[in-house]
Amino acid sequence: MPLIEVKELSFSYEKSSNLKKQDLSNINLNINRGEIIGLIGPSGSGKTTLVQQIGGLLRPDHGTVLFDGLDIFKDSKVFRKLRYKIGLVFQNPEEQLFSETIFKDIAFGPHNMGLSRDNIAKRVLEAINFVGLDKSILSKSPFEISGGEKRRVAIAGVIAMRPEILILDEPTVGLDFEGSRSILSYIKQYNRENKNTLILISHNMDDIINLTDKVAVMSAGEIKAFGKTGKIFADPVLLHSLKIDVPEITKIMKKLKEKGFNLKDSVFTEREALQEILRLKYTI
Amino acid sequence: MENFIETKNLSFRYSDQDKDLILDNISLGIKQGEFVCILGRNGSGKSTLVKTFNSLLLPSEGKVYVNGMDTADEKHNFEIHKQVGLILQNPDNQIVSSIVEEDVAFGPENLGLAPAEIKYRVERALNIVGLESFSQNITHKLSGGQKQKLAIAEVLAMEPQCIILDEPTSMLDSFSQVEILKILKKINKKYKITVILVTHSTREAMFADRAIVMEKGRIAVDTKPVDVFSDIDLLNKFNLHIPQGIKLLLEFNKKGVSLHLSDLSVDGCVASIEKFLEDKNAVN
Amino acid sequence: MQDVFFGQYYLTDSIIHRLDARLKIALTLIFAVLSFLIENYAGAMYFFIFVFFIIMLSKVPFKIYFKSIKMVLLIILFTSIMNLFYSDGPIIFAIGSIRITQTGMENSAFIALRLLLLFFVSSILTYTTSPSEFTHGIESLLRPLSVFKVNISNLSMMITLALRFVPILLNEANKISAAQKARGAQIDSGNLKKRVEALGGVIIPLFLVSFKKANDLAVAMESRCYSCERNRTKMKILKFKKIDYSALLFSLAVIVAFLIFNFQI
Repeated sequence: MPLIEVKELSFSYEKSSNLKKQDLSNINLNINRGEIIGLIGPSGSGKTTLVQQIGGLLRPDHGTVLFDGLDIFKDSKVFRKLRYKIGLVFQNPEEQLFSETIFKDIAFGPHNMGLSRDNIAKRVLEAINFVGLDKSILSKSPFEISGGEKRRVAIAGVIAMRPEILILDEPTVGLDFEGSRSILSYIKQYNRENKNTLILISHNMDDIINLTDKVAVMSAGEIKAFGKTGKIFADPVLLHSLKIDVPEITKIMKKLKEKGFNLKDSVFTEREALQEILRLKYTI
Repeated sequence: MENFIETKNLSFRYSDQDKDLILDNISLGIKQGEFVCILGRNGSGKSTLVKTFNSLLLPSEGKVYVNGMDTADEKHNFEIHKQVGLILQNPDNQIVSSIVEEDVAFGPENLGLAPAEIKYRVERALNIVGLESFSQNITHKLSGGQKQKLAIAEVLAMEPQCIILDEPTSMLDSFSQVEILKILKKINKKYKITVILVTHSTREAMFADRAIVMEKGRIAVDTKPVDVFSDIDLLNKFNLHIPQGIKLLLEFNKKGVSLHLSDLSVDGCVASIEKFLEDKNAVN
Repeated sequence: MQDVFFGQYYLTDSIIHRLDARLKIALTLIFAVLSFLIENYAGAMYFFIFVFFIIMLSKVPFKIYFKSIKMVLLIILFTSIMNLFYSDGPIIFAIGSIRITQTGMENSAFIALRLLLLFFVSSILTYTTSPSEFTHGIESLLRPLSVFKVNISNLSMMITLALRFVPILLNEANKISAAQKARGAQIDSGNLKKRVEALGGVIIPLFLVSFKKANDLAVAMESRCYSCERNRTKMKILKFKKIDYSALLFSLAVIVAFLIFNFQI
């Protein structure tokens, strides 16, 4: 059984009839345990809205969200049980920090879960480790540290709840190259060690290609395509029609193909590109 | 030609108690009409530097001159602000009014211009950024990319000599990023307005004529963008994002093939590879 | 995230939209006061007809008005129901110490009517007047106050910014609230203690975000040469046109007729 099933979900922020713009229309999506799913699409296509539905923060107008077969909106008891199994890291999560110390902020989630003090402390240490920060930071105020560190603290706050599925909405936006790279490597490692499920929203196609198994492409509130990452990015017509940016390497290979060179154009990394070009050069 | 912006031994620290110099003895000249990008990791001093160019921040030591005017002299403030426009990262926080054309009018209204002149400047500015059909729209309903275009229009209506942008596209998707950069290029080439762009993005930096890399409050490199981005050691040293074209070049080098890239754009890479594939005399 | 929230400008072209903001503000105040002078059903009816006539002229769809009504309905109902029980006069209905009198019912009905009219009249104003026109209008009408050393220009800037940032801050509050809910904060569930705890998680970040926005905004305004001391000009100047004079005359006629209607019968 898939871990998450979204069935015929529709939603609109504007509830009254005629002015309604459908923010989400008839969404169907299945996510299996352990998968890393990328969610891409232009701004305003509904990605953040969709993950908020999956995370139980917004109630759909039609349709359901099932977690392990259970309807998350069915009743509040079920909901409270499932609340902590779905971890959602919003965009610019560093803006939500508020406690006196970093320890307390990360502990907020586990505290709400009703865990014992020892357990909470254990989880906070575990979480801070995962994001590559030293435990000496725990006694500091969240407002004393740098922007990149704040973001890691915010992510730690969600990881500390040990969710079965972790959803990250644009985790690298606004960071410099170093910052982006380290956040992604922590995410990758976290996923490898915990074998949990991941949904990643990102504008950076390189990150999507490097990290995800499958990708869902959204546009105007609908899922236009969903499948293995390699397959989706190999469809130039689809990508162009949905205004999806492809990696530069892929653009280069496509242009070469257009110039008449018999090259495979579903290439996304430099190494593959090199192999393809050398193959063509030396097999004439 | 005289420098439009000139710094002489510019140093900056946030307070007298601070030992740390955010900017360390910088002497720099930027001529009217240049398109300069400023790169460097977070904390290198890039944002601080550009904020001294419009007297937002004053030097702790040394001097900054804008069109011959000393920024430390209060009586020049108004004129400096008129000639040098500043656009920050978050477009939302710069928009003053709820209606697009009223927001663009804010600047000219501050200048005490006649209503007809204000209207003319507003229309012109909106035209240049491509928002002319949005003049009556409500500002908070614009998309991220449109908001940043609005921010540019706001500044253009002041008819400045120079525009400074501090990571203007870090919150936008890649299509919007390119749109904004194209507008900046047009403003620079057609209207001869100096553009100073602080960015992390390689793609954006390639639009500029000059690239300055900062490290620890000092200028480490000051040359053409292509020279920065084709120097792999330099990129690694300052932790800058390596463009895929360069990564491809590296892969070729590893196999003993030397590929010359004078132009890091997609078309430049395509041209070089085309040459390699067609060169019958090339031996492995 | 709300598309057309309470009191927001609705862009379309109508006679009412084209009227001078000062006229609209002044008339709104006058009609608001008049609505509380309604003494009888005839007066009320007359008033309603006039208001609906203006609503039609405003070309803002009825359903927009009715959407916003939902928010004030509760207040109107509450107020009128209170009046149901606390008036003297011939008793119609009684249970124990709770009595409903004839006067009570009449008062109740009139209060509801008056509040509804007040609501409609002010909605017409806000739907048909853009934020900057509204601010210009207020600034202009308040100008006599500058005699008392009140800086009207700064005041109107503050109003403009407040209007501009309300939706932004609401949005931020929603975002922060959602993020904390995702970590189990019980913002709209659980006991009082938990809710207060959870509220801290929204208010503190909201404060910080607001300060950052205020700071950025100050930088942006200063960079665009905003100065408290200098005199600002305006792109749109409020000038009375023929249509404004006609509207003024028409309104005066309506007011006079209403006063006659209302106090004669």
